[in-house]
Amino acid sequence: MNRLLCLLRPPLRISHSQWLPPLMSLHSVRHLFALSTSRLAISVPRVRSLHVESGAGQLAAELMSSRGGRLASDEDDGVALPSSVYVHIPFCRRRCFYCDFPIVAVGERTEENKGHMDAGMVDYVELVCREIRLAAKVNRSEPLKTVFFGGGTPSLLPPPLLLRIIETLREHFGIEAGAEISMEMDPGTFDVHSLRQLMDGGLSRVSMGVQSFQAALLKSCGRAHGLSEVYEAVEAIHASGLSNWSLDLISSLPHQTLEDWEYSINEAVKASPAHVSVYDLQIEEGTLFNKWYKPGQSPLPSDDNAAEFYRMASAKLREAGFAHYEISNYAKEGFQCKHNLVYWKSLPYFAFGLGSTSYVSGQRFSRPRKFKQYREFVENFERSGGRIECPEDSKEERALDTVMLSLRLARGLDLQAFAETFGAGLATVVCEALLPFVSSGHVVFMDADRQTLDIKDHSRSKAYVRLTDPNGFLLSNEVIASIFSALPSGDHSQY
Amino acid sequence: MLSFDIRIGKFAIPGKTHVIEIKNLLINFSESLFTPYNLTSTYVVFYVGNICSIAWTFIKFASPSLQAGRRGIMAAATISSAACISQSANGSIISTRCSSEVSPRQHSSTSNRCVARVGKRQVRRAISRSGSRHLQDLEAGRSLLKRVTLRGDWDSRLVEKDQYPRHGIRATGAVEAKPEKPVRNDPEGGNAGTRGIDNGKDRLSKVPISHIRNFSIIAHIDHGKSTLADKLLQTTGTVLAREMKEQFLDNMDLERERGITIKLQAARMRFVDDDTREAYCLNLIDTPGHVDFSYEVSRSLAACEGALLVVDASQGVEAQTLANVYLALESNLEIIPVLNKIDLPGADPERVRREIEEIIGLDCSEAILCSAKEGLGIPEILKAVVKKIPPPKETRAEPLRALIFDSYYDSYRGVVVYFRVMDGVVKKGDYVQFMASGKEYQVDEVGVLSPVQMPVNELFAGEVGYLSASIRSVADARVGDTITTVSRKAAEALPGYQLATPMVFCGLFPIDADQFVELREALEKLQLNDAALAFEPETSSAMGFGFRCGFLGLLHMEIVQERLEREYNLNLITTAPSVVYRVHCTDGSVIECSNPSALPEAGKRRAIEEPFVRIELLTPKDYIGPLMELAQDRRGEFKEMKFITENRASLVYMLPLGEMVGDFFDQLKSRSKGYASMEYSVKGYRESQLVKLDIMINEEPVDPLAVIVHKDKAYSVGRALTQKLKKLIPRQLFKIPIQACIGSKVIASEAIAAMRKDVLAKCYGGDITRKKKLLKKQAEGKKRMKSVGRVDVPQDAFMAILRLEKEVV
Repeated sequence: MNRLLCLLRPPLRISHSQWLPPLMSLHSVRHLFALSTSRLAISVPRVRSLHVESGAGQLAAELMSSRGGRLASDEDDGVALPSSVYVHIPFCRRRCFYCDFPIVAVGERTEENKGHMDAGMVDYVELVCREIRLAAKVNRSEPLKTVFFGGGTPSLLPPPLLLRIIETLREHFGIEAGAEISMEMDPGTFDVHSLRQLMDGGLSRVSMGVQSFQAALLKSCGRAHGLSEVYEAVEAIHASGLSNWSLDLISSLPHQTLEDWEYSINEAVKASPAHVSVYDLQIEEGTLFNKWYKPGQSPLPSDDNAAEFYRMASAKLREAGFAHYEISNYAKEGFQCKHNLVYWKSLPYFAFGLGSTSYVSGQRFSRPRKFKQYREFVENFERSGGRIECPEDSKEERALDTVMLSLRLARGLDLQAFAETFGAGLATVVCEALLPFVSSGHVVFMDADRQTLDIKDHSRSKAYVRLTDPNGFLLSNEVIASIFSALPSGDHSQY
Repeated sequence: MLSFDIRIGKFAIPGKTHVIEIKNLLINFSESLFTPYNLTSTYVVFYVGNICSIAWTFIKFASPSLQAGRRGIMAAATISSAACISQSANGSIISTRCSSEVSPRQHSSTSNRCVARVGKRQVRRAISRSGSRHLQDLEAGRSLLKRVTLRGDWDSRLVEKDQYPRHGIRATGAVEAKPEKPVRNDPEGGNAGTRGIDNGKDRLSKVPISHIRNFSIIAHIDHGKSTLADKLLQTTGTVLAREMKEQFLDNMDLERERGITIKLQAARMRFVDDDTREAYCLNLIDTPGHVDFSYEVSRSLAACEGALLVVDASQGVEAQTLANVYLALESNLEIIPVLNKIDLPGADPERVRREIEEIIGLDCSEAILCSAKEGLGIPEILKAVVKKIPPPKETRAEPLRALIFDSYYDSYRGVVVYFRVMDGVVKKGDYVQFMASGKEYQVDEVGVLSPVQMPVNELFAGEVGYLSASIRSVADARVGDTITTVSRKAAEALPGYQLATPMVFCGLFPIDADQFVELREALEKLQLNDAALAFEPETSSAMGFGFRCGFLGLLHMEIVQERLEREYNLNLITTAPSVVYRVHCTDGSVIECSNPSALPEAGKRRAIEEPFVRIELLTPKDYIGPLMELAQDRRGEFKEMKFITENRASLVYMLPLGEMVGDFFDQLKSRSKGYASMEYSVKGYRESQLVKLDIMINEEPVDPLAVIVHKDKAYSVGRALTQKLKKLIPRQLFKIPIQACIGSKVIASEAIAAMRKDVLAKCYGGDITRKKKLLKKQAEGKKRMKSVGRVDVPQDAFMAILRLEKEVV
């Protein structure tokens, strides 16, 4: 640590670069990248001489520019073409009290409104398919490896409509054999027959929003289903023969006790899903919860209790054989959600439908969240021949994305890959910003074999850095924000 | 030689995003006077005395993005040599003049040789190269500059009113100096008003010395001094009705807002006595109305032969009435009592008359009843001035001695000195010496204040006026100094000169570290005008770079802080004010210490002395109890109490000055429902049981929070501070102990629990942009934190705790 802390400030007279990172001692730089030296354009002895002669600032500048050139060519080669699709299905029976997603509450399906509702859904699916067809035409892509239907409640869509979207994707993008086609389902909106129907069309994974195993809590957060529907839905999934399914829970609900939570986790484990998502309740603006409650104040649990819920989930689920592979996600061996990993690895993906966000050619683009505007967007999109006006993310922004997203994973941040993409200077800054959290036990460095490194141990080089479970995960914002404050910001406009 | 004389006016201009950048500096200054202070690739700054000059050959606009990019480097530069750099950080403006003249800043050793001066009036030149946008900025910069110079803005104000051509009032004053007319006959007679206006036109006319009257007005705050001065100016036609604003002589925004007079003013008036038809020249010298400036008051009183004592006919004698009367008596002034505000329903002139006679012992049988607001009794006052106040002594033939009663810095003419000629004559072109500072200058301009500056050729004994001589700093021509001529020096300076010594100190830190340089420049500018303001750089791990500043008193401190924030757009954190302690060390040495963090360790000091003041409170008897309680709370030592009238009492205490620098005055006012008044004078040092209270955050002492308190109060102060800090510091990764310590002994302790949870549960495709924004915001917040060891303390917490310190200490 002492070595890492030994800083060299860039000399004042260097004014050509807008931002220069403080550097670690040369020793540490070499140490950090020892494994990848063969791949680095500048060999270590040369670095040393540069360091001595012309100061650390220039060293960083050179390291960064050499890396930067490499990155640009990588993109041109088209190494990372999107092979994932997210489709947003915005229909819900009602809006849950904590929800701020772009959804359309359509009410329960009855004989009277059936016709009208179906017409609306057909209309929407048609719109989505139009967007898919054009996007496939104007973008280079690979056959799809993952497809995710999110919502909303995708399971409200009659299976034939959903299958129509899958078929459209298959026709225009192609779907790889064995691709993960995932879909969110709510208890009470499907049965074994509809599930089988979907599976026949290619569905291979289900993510079921249970949220809680207490009837009172389900009610208090405005869920459209009761507890019996939950058990029926679990049975239906088992009956369908689908093993790759996830059960979602929410912790820190109002009035939730530690006992409630323990019971919910136990019941979740008993339902024997392959994957469990546990979300700490976030009070979002514009929701009813935001109107009613204040985070950390009764009836919401205190921060200390909420942290306790998180620790309990982590401990109990790992005990039950789930790996805690992301801040809020647990999976049995081989059942991690491949689609979500695309997000966390900053890989590109297509997105279709109301309010969805795509990440194609470095552009993060969010579609309108209102039905009417979305329709206009699709029409414009067609008129313009598939053009999307959206600025490309800067390198700084991408570095921030990479830090923010990869630290969510147990796998952590790949330091060598980061240094190669964004420059040794930035990697150094990240490591340095993380040091205080290593001594506080929130962050660990790991070697290439994913063995945890003692911070004073310099015999093995650092390859990965990750947040610890559960303490580091619990304070992930604090850690990431600390790195952000050390990194250059992507947009200068706000200063 | 062509010399560029460019003063940087580093003023942030609201709403402007661009910045003028100075590039490629290359100017040959032949004099060794110019010392390159700091050389960077972008600009050079020269220091000449206190005037910071910059020259450049090339100006360009930097785009906002470039500005953002440069900032890091600028900041780094600041840190590397914090002492003195000039930079144009954000939205700053440079104001410039180019003058073709031999450098007016002659070294004192060479000035004797009287280098002839070429081209005197300095010419403003706008730099047109950068187009209209730049010009706009220059204009904006100038208008700000106008506000900075205190009374220099007479000109501009009149210009704004389109009363005079662009050259300003000084040009119109050129009609001046008609030959002496002994008596001006007024054939028509007419009413007083029209005569007054005629008099106004002739106010530059010389009168024999026997017809000169120099007087000032002394009063308690709010007793109507400024209003009376306004009325005198109006009645004598010195200021025309259409130019008139309320409190004409208080022309700082701050003065008007607070209804107080901070800086002095003077006005020459012409008055023709109705009965004798003789013309008189009356010089009114306004005085500041606050105890912080009592030295300035005493000097302006010394420049007079008489004073109007204005007492509110409803409120009666107040603490400052007394203090000022004593000052006036010390100067042997003829005092004319005036009972003001007789138009008020509550006025009771008879009672107040008795009060004055009883308390002050002044004969009030001829006291003048007046209402300045209604204009009642004004001619009577003027007549009494002529009749009662003795004329100055005829000492024209003697060597020049002129008493400076005020001075201010004008960015175009150097220091402008206000003085009263006691003996001899001063003329334009004379070489004069300031006897206390020893500095010599050639007089560029002499004139009278009426109340705008009007140049004349000479001023002789008895007259009041101003002079400018390209004097570099107010410190060269301080209030109380004596002006004499180099060729015929006076044997002895006038008595009473004192160097103003700061009594109260506090740390001033810019909230935004980038503003350090701007703060320094602003302080330097204020110091040009305010010789009593002292400052030196101070650094602290928690607050960054700032200054330890010394002030005459609390009002002075408040005013300086407010002007820095208002006129220079600085955001400041101020530490709790402290007085100057005298520390007796074990090695026998005595150290003066005004900064708690610089106090020698407990083992090295034998005793601490603190300044004590004699404080006199005048209060209606109902509030005697609460006020005694207050004084006792503040370690006051009771001296005496007497009833000055049936209902009003005077309380005298000896009180440590340190106990007064907090909210004593506010408390006084609130406990007496606003009725009590106070007055204090510093009476010297006494030993006290004082301790230094350190505040430790996570076992690290926080210097700016350290305070020197009395032993008995340490516990309650320590408890209050630690409790407040606990509330203000956000949870961190680890548990943080917060302690108040005396030496190594912990007297109060709190702890902040470790942070438990700060996590975004969901972050999928659609969430990334939004969540990143949240994290960026959080990161920005971190940048604004000040770190104390491993602990991040928000700026707000510091401000709140410093506010609290001012209350509890």
